[in-house]
Amino acid sequence: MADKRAITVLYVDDEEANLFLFKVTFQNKYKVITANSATVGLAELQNHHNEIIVVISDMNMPQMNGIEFIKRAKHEYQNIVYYILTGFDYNDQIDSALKSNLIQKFFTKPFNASEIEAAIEQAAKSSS
Amino acid sequence: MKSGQKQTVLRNIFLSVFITITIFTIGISYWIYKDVEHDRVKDLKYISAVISSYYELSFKQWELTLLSVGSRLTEFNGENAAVERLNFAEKALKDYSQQLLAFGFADTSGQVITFTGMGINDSLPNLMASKNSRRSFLKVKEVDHLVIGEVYFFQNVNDWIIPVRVPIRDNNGQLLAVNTSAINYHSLLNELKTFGIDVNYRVHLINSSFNTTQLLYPLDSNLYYQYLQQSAEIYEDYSSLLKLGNIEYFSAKSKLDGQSILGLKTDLQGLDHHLIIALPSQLIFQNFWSSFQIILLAYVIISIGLALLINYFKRKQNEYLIELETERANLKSLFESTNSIIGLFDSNQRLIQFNRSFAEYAKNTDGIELYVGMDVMSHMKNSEIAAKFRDNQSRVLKGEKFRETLEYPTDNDSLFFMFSYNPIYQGQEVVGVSMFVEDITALKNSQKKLEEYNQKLEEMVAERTHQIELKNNDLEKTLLTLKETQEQLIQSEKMASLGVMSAGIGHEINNPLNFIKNGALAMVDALERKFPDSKPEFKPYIDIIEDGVNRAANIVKSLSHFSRKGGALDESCNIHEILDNCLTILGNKLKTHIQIEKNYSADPLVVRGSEGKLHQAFLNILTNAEQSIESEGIITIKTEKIDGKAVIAIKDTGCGIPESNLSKIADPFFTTKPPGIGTGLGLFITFAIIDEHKGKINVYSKQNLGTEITVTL
Repeated sequence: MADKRAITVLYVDDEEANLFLFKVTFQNKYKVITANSATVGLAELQNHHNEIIVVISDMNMPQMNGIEFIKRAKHEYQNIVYYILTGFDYNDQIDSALKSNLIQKFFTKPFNASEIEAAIEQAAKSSS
Repeated sequence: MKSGQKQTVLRNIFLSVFITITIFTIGISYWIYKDVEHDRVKDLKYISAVISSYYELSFKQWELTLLSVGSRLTEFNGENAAVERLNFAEKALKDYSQQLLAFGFADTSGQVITFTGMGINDSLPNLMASKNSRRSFLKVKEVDHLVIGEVYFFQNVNDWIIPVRVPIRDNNGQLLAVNTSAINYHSLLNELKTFGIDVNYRVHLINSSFNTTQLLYPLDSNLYYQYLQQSAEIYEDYSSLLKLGNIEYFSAKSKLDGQSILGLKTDLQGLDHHLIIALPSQLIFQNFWSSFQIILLAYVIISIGLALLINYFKRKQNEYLIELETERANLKSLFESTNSIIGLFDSNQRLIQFNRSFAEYAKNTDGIELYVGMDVMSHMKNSEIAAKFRDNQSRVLKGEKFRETLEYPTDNDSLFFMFSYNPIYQGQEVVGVSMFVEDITALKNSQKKLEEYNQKLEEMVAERTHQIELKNNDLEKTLLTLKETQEQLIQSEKMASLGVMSAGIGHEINNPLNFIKNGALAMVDALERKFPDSKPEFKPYIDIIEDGVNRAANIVKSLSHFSRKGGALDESCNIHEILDNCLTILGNKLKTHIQIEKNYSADPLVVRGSEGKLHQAFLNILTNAEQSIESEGIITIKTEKIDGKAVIAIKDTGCGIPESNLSKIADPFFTTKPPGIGTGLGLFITFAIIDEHKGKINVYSKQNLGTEITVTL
């Protein structure tokens, strides 16, 4: 089994509070990179795409929303698993993203830490 | 014709009066004239007789000679008779001029033929014998209507007195006076008396150196008299008529009595000798003439008046007749011009009079040619109707007047007539029948048509009414549907607004919830690392926080169903499968004392929609059913296909829903459960889902008995 610390997760959310919470929740288990916008997220990916296994993104972001971001990211980095974490419930956008396999899963806020953890583990397993 | 008769009588009266007057006038004139003439002639004859008889013995010879000459004179009758007589007489008289003093000839009418003679002195006869005098006398005769002359002659004066008698007459021979020179007038008078001449006279002696008396014999006392006077003051308006040498004839007016007089003035031996002969004042003859003229005038006026009167009456009569004629013509034209049939019958039911219309109809319907005196009924084709007519007429002849409609069959169609019968009266007696008939066939036909139209109209109205009723029903149904739709719309609106809300809220609440939950967890985590033993101490706080956050999150999640648009309703959903799934899900929740009875339809029920949503809908219903049963109960699920729709009935024997709450069960957040147990959104969501699937949901409940929810999809 890979070292848990070797799993790097990128979390993109425009709310700083969310970024903080995510970090404090998972930083003990994984390496968490946060980005407060899609642009920053893409930059981070560019820098750390080799180590990032999972990208989790918020939906509702100014300038570029989650789906857009993931589309761009996936276009560049197909090996990464992409999830969405959103305040909205299941909607058409998410549905089509799931159907087109843009994202593997989606989570709703407030997130369930164990649920996300399980998804990350699964992603890590599939990638390794 | 009363005034006409009156006029005729008047006319006759006037005519007879007129004729009488005319005859009377003519008779009177003739009688007067005749008498006058008669007298005149009579007198003349007597005078000549007097003269001739007196001297018969002595002068027979002369008389005979004179008579023969006189008779010879009558032979001259031609154009120049007067002149010829004169010449003859002159020649004859020349032979005897030596012996005679003077003589002349006159005819029986007193007309002087010739005159010659000697006076008792030389001058007078010469004067009288002169040609001038002869001519003059004739002239006098003409101008002054004096007829002078008679047979007379002179004798030697020494022997005895030969009276010179000169009768003076007017040109009609009427003796006016006699001029004579006899002394002894008494004997002369006696002579005249013996011959029946009653003479009224007045004798005046004249002044003269002449020893003679000249007497003038008036014919009657009123008209003739003489004046012997020398003074010229007795007369006025002196007018000289004729001058015969010494003798002047004049006319004047007597101052004494206004009489017109004729005077002879002569100068005898140097003395003015006036002989006045009074002219009869406008004799009977003249009177006659004026009377005649007056009568004639009256006659003329009367005749003119009569003529005018007759004219007037005649005109009036004409006018009256014209008026009558006009009236008659008008009546006749009226009689003929009307299209109504008019016929007059006598007491024997024979035709007296008929108009054009009657004649036409008779011809057209029965081929009858009407004529006056005809027994019309006997010529009619239809004996039944003829008998009816006869009967009608006899009724009228009894004095009845009435109206009757009759159908008269002809070769084509029947004609309809309206008969008006009236008796004709003469005084009190009925002498005939007047029949006035109106052809009402057209009217009857119109009536029939009208009834037909009426009928049709009523049918149409009934039809229309029925159609309207149907429409009405449709409209009512539509109204109901609209009402339901309206309610549903309102419901949808509610949900929609809620949905809109929830779409926004969802995100806005979830993030803060995230902060709270994960913030709390992270904090507790950090605390636990710091104070590893206090983990159990923190648990209740964490539990409470988590519970609260989860509750909130659930509500938001539930609500966010409605932020989803119509969408994925294209799955084919098997109702029975869905129901079974729900039962399975509920399985562990179902208390063992709840019995489930499944009564599925034989046919599979498949609807198009969202499987997930339908799951949720039925799940909510079943959850409610389960929760309504306190201890023991039965839940019955019955499905069937009705009219192509899936009907699912879920019935429970739970506590039921009180009537006051029935209308609120689908309201969001309405719940009877204690807080935390139910969100109050279950049925709200169910209703929304069913509505989304264009289905229907019915709730029937009775408190303490149970609830039945029927879903139609």
